[in-house]
Amino acid sequence: MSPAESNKKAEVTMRLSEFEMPPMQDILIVGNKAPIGPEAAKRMVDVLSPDQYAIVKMEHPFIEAIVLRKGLLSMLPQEKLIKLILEEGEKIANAQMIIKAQINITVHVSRSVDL
Amino acid sequence: MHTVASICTQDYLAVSPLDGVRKIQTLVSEKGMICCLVRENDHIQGMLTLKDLLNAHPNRIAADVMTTELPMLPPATPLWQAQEIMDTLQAEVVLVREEKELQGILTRTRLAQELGKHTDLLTGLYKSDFLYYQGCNLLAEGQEISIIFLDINNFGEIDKTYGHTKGDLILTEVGQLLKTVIPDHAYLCRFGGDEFVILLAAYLPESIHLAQHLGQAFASHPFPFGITVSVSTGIVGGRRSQSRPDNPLNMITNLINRASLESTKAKKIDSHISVLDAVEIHDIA
Repeated sequence: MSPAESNKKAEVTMRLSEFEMPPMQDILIVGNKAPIGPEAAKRMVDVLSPDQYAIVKMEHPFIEAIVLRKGLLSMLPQEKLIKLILEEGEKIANAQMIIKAQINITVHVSRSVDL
Repeated sequence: MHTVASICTQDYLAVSPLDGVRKIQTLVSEKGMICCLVRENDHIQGMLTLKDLLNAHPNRIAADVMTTELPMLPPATPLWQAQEIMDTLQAEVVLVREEKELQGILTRTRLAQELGKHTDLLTGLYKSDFLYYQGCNLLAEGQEISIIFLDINNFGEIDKTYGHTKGDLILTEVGQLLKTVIPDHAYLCRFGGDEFVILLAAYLPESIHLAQHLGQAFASHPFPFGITVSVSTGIVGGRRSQSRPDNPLNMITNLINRASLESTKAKKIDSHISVLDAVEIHDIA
């Protein structure tokens, strides 16, 4: 087939999924050279889910801050949660990255009562 | 005394916390600024310096890059004190602010430019404004002070005999000699012409001892072209009293004036040192 007779076609694929509300779930680990800073991330989710997220800034070689859902802090003390996030997060994050993390906390309680 | 109110500028750039770094970099570059303020609803939230902008990802917003600990100075801050504070804070820019009202910003470059006017180009020593500022500080701290006023003997003759350029070299040499001889807690300035002033945070006996030491230093120092240089020294010691408060600047001015008159008297004395004891210094309320 000569070029003049060519028949161009475009193939379109679509992927439809539900928009996450908010677009981040529980935690964002923000590198200190990341294109979006913690304040921008917080303002973004504050517009969609007001007052639900907090910024924890930190002195770290490459992690600038952690933006986390405030609800998590009612289940686990902040210092323990941050320590855990950092231990896992710094294994994969770098200064340029923003890592999205989901965290499930289950509190096991076992109590005895007088009969 | 000169204060930061007279040299701060209101010609500054203000951006929104949501403005992007790339946009701010362009604005700052176009306007030739070295910093900009981050303002939201008439409230200053932070400041961005060139260093902040250079180190930031261009996609970031001002709120994520700005410095939020803003160094501030009241408008009445003397220039010398502003320099001390900016050195301590390692600040390139400070806000000049009275309570909540922003009067302007002051950059280190502008301050250095202004302080340069108070530095004597020939000797490299500070001019008298520096001494007035330090004197006021010492009085405010409740320190004893004394003033040593030095006047080079027959300097006019040196100029006439050897020429003014050689006279200038002598002045430079005198400045260097004084710098090396005075103690750490003394402040030195070239007051004008062939006159130098030393402010000492000390009682009179220490000033007299220093003046005698200076006399020996001049006698033994090999000045250029074999010229013999000596000085007449007037010394005034302050005596603290609690009678009434006064303006510290007036007090320092008065002490320097008295010391200058003593240096004139000293020219007719063999030792070339004349001392006026116990000028009353009123405590500052």
